[in-house]
Amino acid sequence: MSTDGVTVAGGASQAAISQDPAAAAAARSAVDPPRGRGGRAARKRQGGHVTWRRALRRDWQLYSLLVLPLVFFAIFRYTPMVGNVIAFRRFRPGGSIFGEEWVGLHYVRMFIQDQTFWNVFQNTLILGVLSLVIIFPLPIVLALMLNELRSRRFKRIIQTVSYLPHFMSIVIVAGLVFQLTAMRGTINQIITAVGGSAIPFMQLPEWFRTIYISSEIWQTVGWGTILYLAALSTIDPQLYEAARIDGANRWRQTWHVTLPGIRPTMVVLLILNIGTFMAVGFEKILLLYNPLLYPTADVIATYLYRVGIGSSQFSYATAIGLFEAIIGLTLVLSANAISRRVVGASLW
Amino acid sequence: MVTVDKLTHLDERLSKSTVRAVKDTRAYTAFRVVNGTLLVIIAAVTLYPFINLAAQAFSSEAYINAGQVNLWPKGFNLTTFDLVMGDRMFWRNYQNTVYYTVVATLVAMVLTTTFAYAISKYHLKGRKVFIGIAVFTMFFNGGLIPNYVLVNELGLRNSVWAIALPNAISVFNLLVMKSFFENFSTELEEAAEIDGLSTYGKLWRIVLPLSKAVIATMILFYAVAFWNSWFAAFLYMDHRELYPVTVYLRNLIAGATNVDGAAGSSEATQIAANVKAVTMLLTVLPIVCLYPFIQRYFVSGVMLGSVKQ
Amino acid sequence: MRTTKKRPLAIAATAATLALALAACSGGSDDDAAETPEVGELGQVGAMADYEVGTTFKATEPVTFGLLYRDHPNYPLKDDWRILTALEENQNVSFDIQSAPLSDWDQAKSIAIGAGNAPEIVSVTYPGQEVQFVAGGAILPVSDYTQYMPNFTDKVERWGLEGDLDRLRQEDGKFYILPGLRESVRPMYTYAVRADIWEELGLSLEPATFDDFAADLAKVKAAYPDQYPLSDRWSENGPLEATLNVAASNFGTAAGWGFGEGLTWDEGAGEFVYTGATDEYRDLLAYYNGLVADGLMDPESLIQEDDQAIQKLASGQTFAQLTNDQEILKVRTAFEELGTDGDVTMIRVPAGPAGDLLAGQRLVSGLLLSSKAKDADHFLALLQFVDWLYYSDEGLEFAKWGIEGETFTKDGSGTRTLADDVDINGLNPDGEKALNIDFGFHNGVWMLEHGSTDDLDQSMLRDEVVDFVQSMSDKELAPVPPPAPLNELEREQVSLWQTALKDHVYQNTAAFILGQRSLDEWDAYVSELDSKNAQQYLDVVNGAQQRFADANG
Repeated sequence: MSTDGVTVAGGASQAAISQDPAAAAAARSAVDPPRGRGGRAARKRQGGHVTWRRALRRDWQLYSLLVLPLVFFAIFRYTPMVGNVIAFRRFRPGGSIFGEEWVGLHYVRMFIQDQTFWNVFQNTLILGVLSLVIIFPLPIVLALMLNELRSRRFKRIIQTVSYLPHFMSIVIVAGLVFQLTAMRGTINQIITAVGGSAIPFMQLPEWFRTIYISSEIWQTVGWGTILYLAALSTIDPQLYEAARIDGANRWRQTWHVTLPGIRPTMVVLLILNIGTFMAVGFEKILLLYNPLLYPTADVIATYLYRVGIGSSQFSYATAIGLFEAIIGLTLVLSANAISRRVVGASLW
Repeated sequence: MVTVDKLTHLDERLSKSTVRAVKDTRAYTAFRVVNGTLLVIIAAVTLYPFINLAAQAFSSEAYINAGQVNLWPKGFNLTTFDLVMGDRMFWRNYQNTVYYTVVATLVAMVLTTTFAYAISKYHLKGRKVFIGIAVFTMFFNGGLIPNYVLVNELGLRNSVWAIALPNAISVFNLLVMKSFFENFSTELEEAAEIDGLSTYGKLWRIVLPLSKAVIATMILFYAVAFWNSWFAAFLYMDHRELYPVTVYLRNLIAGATNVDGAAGSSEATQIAANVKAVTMLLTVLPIVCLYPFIQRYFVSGVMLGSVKQ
Repeated sequence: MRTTKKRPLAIAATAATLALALAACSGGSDDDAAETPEVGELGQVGAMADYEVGTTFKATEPVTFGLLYRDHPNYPLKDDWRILTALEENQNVSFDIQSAPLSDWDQAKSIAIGAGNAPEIVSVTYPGQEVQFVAGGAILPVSDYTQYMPNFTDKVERWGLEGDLDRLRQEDGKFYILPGLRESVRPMYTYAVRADIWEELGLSLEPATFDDFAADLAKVKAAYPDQYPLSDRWSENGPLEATLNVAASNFGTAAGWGFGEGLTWDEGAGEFVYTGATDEYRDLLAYYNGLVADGLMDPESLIQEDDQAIQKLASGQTFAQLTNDQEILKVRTAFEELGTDGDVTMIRVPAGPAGDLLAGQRLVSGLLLSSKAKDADHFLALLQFVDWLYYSDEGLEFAKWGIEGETFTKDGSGTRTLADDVDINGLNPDGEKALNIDFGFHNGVWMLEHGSTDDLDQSMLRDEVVDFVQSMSDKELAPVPPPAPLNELEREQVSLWQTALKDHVYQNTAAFILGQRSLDEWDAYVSELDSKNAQQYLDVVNGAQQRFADANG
């Protein structure tokens, strides 16, 4: 899932590099009361606040490790953020980076009143929710299925095959989708072979969501299993033994041992995915869609990309971008808080 | 001391564990058969587009357009391969891609690992703030233009740094690494401290060597992303000798598909229809070949962080 | 892979990547609208003192111009190209080249200009694409400087292009792009039909009207009942974009690639109406819907990929398809590959209900000059050079054909022939070298796409194409609408409406043609357009037209 930062201003969608975490330990993130949580409690027990001076002296090496990355964040992430001010100022290409004059909520009003904007917003929401609901559970299911395999070689082979699509760039995946869904493409060949008539998939809006979600599944599910498989292998085999002795069959074992065992992983990934769910793949949709598909395929990012005329369109785009970002941030904070309260596990 | 070797077979031992000691019920056996079949089907479906792609790359135009190419090349020929691979610029650009990927991944790994390790320490004062600084950037950024102007102003144009620096840290990866380090056995670290190692020493001598799994994973993630990226190079490279191969190939496809209607008509050349398939294959192949070497670290070593002494 | 390239002349919705020049160009314009600069104010380095029409430009001292170069993969840039060495030797001009790939050219251009990173000359820009940069002052109002470009002004006068140029003027009355100038519109697209079958059935290759053409297709269908006589292509970004563009003018409307901003000038009413809502547009759709309903046109035409369409034609599954003078070569090659017996030829585009009309632009892709050019020492020389290379007969010939005696020869009657070892576009199949690949001539950056004198324009055409052009030359030119430049605020509002309206039109165009939606619902469709702010859009545009007319007479 390579993204190349093609988002228009201020977008929450700029998940710079990769979106899929992998290491097993993420599974155990905060679910470790004796060790992790002890930190703050322990400090409090020690009677009070550690001052900055003490902290610096004690941990100066750790702080030194922070310096370079912080500089990175400062220069390459926070400095450009000031550019977001043009959501509230009129920007002219060729003029100042910070816009020419204050226009307040003019652009915000502009997109609130724009009917097309709400349509694309809806499309974005729908695709995001579908991604979350459909695509999120699948790596878990696949991991469980793989887990049931006895032959290690067989498991390895299937695993490897399932990871492969992740390595393909979006351009390639889009090309593949076109070939598969072409009138003479594989899918239609199958359809006609069983007696149906070929369907022009890329012309009918009602098919787009299916096609998009399917291609996302193909590309990401295998990769997503890495994390879960690793988490699965950390589950104490004695728990299975105990369950079996208690008379549980495999299915009940799965329900009572396996799933709770990977629950922390699921929670972490769920929170992260919720936060970024509005960042529906801009580049992939841009490559896949055409005017006939706009009713369902057009998302916020692609709409902005198309509305290209007009010198101040960039301010408009930034305003929308900020709107998206606020939504994303709110979602992730809420998800994190809820998860901490309900499940006892959270991202931070 | 837990070693990678011992763990390589740990997953195998687990699956052969006591679960099998008792004879399976008939229902379970049936389930296993179904399970296995399903997985094979899934694997086949996943693999099919690759095979199709490879087949097309070696086929002739007429058959491709007639939709007759499926799993096997028809009208086998290497003309497009010759065309693409005979171009010196193609190899030059391939070199660039490798160079950019290596440098960018290195930079990314150093920054991500150090930051992740530092913020994984619960006792670090201000930890939450630092985490917040990183997470905030997942949602808010300045957008294309301010970033573009910044990179120009810093004089990074036409250099590998324009690719490596702006996207050096992926917060997703950062959070994963942080989790991994949080889970890392404290006993090990405490033992090292008692032995007199400083933080740097701990990190370098103990933590990193035992974190091969997550490091391998992150390297792979970053490498794949940088390998496939073209946008940064497109923005900041002014000369074709500096393009990575992705830009080269994207340009090639644009030229071959004669997209620009009227304008392109006087400049279109007959380039084979399978140029798309060929370019796709050439871009994907190296990564796919690289993957098996890294895979051994995944399943086995990943558990290292969770295994307690 | 599909790229969402915009059609030339459709207002290019170049990406949301507008950028800024930093502080240097802050605050907007420095020049008043009324003042045009005196020659003494311009940088004089390298400029010729007595430059006029017919003079060969040679800079008085070596100069280097910045150039944003569009790198086309079919002819990669080489530092030692003959065109570059010749320009250096003969014109004393060299370039500081900044490349961007063809694949994302528009976006690269937008970013470069916006961020103040654009070199002096920005190549390959279509009229309409410059509009977004006007307000910020990143590009020069070139109309202020055309007085120093004698060849440009000469051709505009001789070919009567003032009206067309006016359409490029912005609200301040100036235009900001140096377009390519054509002496006449060159028709390029038409239907290719199976010459052998047409002959067999006694059908004319110059059908008088579209209805006649439909009748011809019906005869073909009668002879080959199991096949679609017509299976079309070019529907990537919109339904039948090329076909509708070709046919539309004969129906009195605009469609497909020519749809543009969706404005039709109603001479009688003296105002703009929305193209997608006019009766003429409906008639156009009704015609094609008729073809589909009668089984004469393959419904897949709106869907299939171009390559598939060509295969259908070349394998004999269909007998007619839209083509252009280059694509038809591709089709013939496919015929050979598949071993089909038969040949294709181009017909004359028939007349339609609105008459025998040809729409087209005589102002084609050209170049922009960035604002920083005017501060350069060699600014005047730059203007003269651009004028010579892109607008003088000599320069145009040089860019297209190369150097007489080296890459081509010219005989007494003015016919040009390529040198023996040089080929371009298949004109000289025995030549091992290519005019563009090896020498750098015939290159879209230095040779303005099709912008030229008739003589030069047709000089490289094959005979059949020349015949085609001749047969089309008696068509009447579609009228040019009056200018209606918008100001910043208006453009902001309008851009959103335009997009929404155009999307709706395109979707329904497909639906109506395919019969998915009955043409009886036309009125419902028009009111849907109204609900998408069609009327507000027209109000703004008509207001702008009125404003410009009042200000400029």
